[in-house]
Amino acid sequence: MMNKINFIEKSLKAVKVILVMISVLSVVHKSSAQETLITMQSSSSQTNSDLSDELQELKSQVLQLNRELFILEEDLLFPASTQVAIFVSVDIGRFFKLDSVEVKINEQETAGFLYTKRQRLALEQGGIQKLYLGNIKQGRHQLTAIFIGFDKEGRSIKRATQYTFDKKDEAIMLELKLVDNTSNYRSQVAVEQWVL
Amino acid sequence: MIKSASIKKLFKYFCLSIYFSVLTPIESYSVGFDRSDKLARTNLHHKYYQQALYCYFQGDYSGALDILSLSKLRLNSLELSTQLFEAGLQIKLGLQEEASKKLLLISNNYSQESKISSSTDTERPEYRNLLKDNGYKDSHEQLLTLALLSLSEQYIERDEVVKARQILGKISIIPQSYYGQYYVLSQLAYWPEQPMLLLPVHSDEFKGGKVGNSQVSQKSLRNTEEYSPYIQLNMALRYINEGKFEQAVLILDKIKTGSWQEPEQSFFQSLFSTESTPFQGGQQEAKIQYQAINDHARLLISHLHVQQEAYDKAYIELATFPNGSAYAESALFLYAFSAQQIKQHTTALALYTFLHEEYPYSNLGWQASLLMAEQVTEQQSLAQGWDSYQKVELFFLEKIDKLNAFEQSFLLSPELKPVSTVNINEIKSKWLEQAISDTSINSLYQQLSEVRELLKLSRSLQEKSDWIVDIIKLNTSRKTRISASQKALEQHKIHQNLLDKRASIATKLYQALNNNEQRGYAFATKKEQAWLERLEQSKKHLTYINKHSQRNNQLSNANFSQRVARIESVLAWRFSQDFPERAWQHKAQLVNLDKSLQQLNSLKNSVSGLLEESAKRQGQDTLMPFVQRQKSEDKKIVPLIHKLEKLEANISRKIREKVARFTQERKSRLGQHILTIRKAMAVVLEEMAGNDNNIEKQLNLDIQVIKESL
Repeated sequence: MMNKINFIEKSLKAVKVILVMISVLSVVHKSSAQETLITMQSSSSQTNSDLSDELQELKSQVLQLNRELFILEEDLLFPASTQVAIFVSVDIGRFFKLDSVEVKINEQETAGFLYTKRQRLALEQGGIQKLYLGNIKQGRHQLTAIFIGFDKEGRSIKRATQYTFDKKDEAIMLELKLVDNTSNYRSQVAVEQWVL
Repeated sequence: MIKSASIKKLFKYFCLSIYFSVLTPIESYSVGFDRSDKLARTNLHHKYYQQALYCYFQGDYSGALDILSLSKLRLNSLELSTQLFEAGLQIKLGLQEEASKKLLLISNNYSQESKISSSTDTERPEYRNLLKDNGYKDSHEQLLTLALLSLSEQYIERDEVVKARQILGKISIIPQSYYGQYYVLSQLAYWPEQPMLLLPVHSDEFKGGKVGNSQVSQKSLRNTEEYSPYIQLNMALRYINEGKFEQAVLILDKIKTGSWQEPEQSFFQSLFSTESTPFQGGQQEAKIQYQAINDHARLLISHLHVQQEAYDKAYIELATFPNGSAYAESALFLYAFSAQQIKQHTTALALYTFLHEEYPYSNLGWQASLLMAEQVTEQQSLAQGWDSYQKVELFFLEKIDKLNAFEQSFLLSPELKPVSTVNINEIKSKWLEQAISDTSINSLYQQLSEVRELLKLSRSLQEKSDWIVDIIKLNTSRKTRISASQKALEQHKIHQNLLDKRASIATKLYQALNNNEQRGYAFATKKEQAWLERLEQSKKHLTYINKHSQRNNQLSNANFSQRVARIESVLAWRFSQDFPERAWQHKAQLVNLDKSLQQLNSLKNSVSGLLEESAKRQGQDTLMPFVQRQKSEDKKIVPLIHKLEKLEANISRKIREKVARFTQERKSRLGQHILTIRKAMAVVLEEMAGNDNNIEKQLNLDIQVIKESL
């Protein structure tokens, strides 16, 4: 009988362990706000918390350093007087499923990109892609952009545009926008030069 | 006369009207009407935000955060929605502390701002995304609510419930779409007490911060309670804690058979969710999670039945428990125990045997081993029971040996190997797999893997910094070289030479164009010049021949002269034909030459300007700011690497300590089980001995009787 009582107590403990293990079991990994309450051993959590804080601080410093070096590298390699940046965006993407893009400047091949489904969806959800960052000399230049993709029926289609711009001392930022035109159910390419 | 005058007048007025209506705008356009001041500045905040979105939707949170930080550095500020986005990304990257600080700042700043101005901000572009996502008219309160809910979640995760309560107390209004999250957080923050909750507000009722109809809100509250399994589960747990088992069972009964729809999450809700990859899994994952909730409810009900000794109910409840559930082990054990209690011994024995074989490393498995041996002793024979106890004893001894071997190899290894804390099944050592099931060891391993990633990144940053130094050196030497070569080039002299040459060409051209007598000979090609020379030669020869020849040769000399004259006239005609075109070509080439010289001049001027500037600075390098920046970043790297290495060593030590504690605890448990087994074996032996004595006594009696009868 004593053994039976012990086992009942143990099974109750086991169920409490189950409650603790809920957060660990891979299936129920909803946000912890929606998990059952976890009883934490206070002394070990205190130590873990210190390590966690230290780790977070160092992580933050490393990420900050990474960003600063990235900016330094960019400023060094692409100073504003010669910098040209090309971006791609999609609005909305119903009539044109973007597959790839090619960009030329003054008939020289400058950039190209093949899109995965995820990247295309990221663009359709409002993202802007930084396609190219480079240097060009001051003066007049011509940009040609060719977008290749598929229409709603799965047929391959191309859209292209040309744009002339003058490079001066400031950085040039050009956004290639693939825009749906609901009046003719087609997409067209527009170029927006950002005013800095 | 009158008619013609009036017609002229009409015509004049007509022309003037045309001019003013049409030509003036065109004229102003054509003379370079400056429209640049009319062009609006591009909203770079929004553009950076969209670039960050591109990374975010691909799961590259670190890239997205880098872009937002870059935008903060470039633009000196971030808009409110961008700050919220940044906080969400920090949470995704595990920077909870930073995210909490940011959210606190947002909530403090924002609550001050909203006092100052409550004007419609719906027109501001930064709220466009939020409005698009949620269709919520006034997004001020929504932003604040979002920030506060996320902050309270952070505090709850860190077990700082007092702070979590304070933060939840700051929420004055809660929209319907966030009510479920608010409810669960309140339950956790106020556990085990019942939380005081605000009523939810519908978007169509909300007007300038006023709470809407209370009846509708009550209905929304009830709906939220009914349709959220987590809220229901927490309520059941609270009843269990208070001993109100019947009420708990009622709720759990609903949960175990319930089915729920995954609520649609807004952009910011999914951003602040602690799921690492919200874009994977989707409906399938939600289905698995809700199945787990059903199973968990069923298990809790069974536990309550067992606690109240209603073993038959527990037995019936667990009979249909799904096989592949995450709670299978616990359910099997309870099921076996319930079966044993209601005398279903065959089932109980089979289940205990299964648990013993399938879960040889878990506590429940070990307990099942003990109960299995006990069952064999009770249901079969003492001898079989004895065998069973011996086998289980050997099993436990073997486990202790393996545990010792694991402890030796783990604690003495120079470096802890990386281990997957997500796919535990990939871990080769079963003991390590068990150890990692412990939350604190699991989180330490996660931290260790993060530290190692950070070390790798830091070392690559060191390489990058060294590379930047090389680039700066190359640039500096390039500039010096250019400067020196410019000086050595004597470009002014060369330029002057070019100008002089141009002048002489222009003079020759002018002369050729204006000299009618040259008859286009100036533009003769090389071949034609050779012909002209031959012609001259021939003429000279003829003159000489004529001078020195005899009279009887005069006729042939005249013939030759005629022929030379004919060739000369043909050439002259040809030159005169080609003259206009060649003249034009040469003029055009001179114009092109002038253009090239102009470009060369402007380039020369700009290069001279640059050289003058650098000379003015007297040794100050344009690359100096870069050098300073690089040095200041470089100084940070080495100490950072040292700190990370120290932290890595610290974490490894902690892991070893905890694993050592884990193995000790396991060994002591196994030791206890062995003691229990041996006690049980002693009891069995006693019984067997007792039985043997009885048999012996009976035999002796029988012998006595036989002897007496004989």
